[in-house]
Amino acid sequence: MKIVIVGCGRLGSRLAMWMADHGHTVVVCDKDEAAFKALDEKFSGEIVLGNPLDEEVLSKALRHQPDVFACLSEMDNFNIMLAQIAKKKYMVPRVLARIRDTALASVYRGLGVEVLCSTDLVLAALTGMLSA
Amino acid sequence: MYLIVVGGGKVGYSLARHLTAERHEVLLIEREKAKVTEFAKELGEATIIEGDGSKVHVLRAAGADRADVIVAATGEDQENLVICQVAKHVFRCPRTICRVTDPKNESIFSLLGGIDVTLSATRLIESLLEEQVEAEAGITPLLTLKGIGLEIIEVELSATSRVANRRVAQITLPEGAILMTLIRGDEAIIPTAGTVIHGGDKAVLLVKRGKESEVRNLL
Repeated sequence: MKIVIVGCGRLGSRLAMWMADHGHTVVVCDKDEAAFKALDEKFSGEIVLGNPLDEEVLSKALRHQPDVFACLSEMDNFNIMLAQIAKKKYMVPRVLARIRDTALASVYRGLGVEVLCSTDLVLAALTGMLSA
Repeated sequence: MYLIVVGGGKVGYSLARHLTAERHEVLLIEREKAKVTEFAKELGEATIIEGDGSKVHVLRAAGADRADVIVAATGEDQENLVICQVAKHVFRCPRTICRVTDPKNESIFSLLGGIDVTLSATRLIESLLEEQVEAEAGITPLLTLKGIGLEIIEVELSATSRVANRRVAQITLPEGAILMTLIRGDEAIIPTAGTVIHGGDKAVLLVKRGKESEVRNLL
């Protein structure tokens, strides 16, 4: 699988390393160069430095026609805009967007992107644990 | 009419003040407390609330479900996109207007949906400059019909114009141009084939984009 990950924070960097370790082709993009320090030295994927809302940066990150595009930055509105561009302009087959605000998460769940909301996920886990 | 303006920068604040003066019901949403306090003194307490306008609960508290127009006027394109999309998809707002800082986002936003009108200051200045260039060639652009490549222009005819003292039927306009009206003094004449064109008339034409200079050369 070819995946592009935007946001090399705690979540993005770990997903990038896990995917690379499991034999997938990984591109990780962040506008902050220091963010890439979170990656292992032996990380085998590609790094793209820059803001992917900038057309050039995004085209570079997407140039290998990925199967999955994951927007995992901590900024909801940034993730929402970028995910829609990847889906509707670049036609990436699977697009995931991290949305921390639960109300916004439910708005965008119906609009063609796969939404990840940590509050919803933890809540589901908790209710599962407590009802077992 | 009830209008919600999100973003109390120069654009949003001036717009809210102007709309209030025009006696519309206006609510400004601004994130920074200091600005909210300052604007409340000038615009009145009832016309401003503090909050992040891209959040569903803030728009709900603002009465987005009964707003006729929501204007997203913050300086951040991604905020403005989300404000308009939430306004459209959650609150069914009939008209969403989106300020765009990066002109490249105009076409992207129309692809993403949820926005009725995008406004880019850069594009606006570009089109005004284009119109200025045309104006210097003796053509006054009256209206540009966006997206379909047509515009309505006015051309003032000199006394020595090649079409002066000729009937409309005798002149052949370039393909893609139609003579709509002749303005003679204070009178507007809807031309027929027999109408005689005078020097000093102003001709109002509907033309395809790019045909302006051809029309100018003929007239």
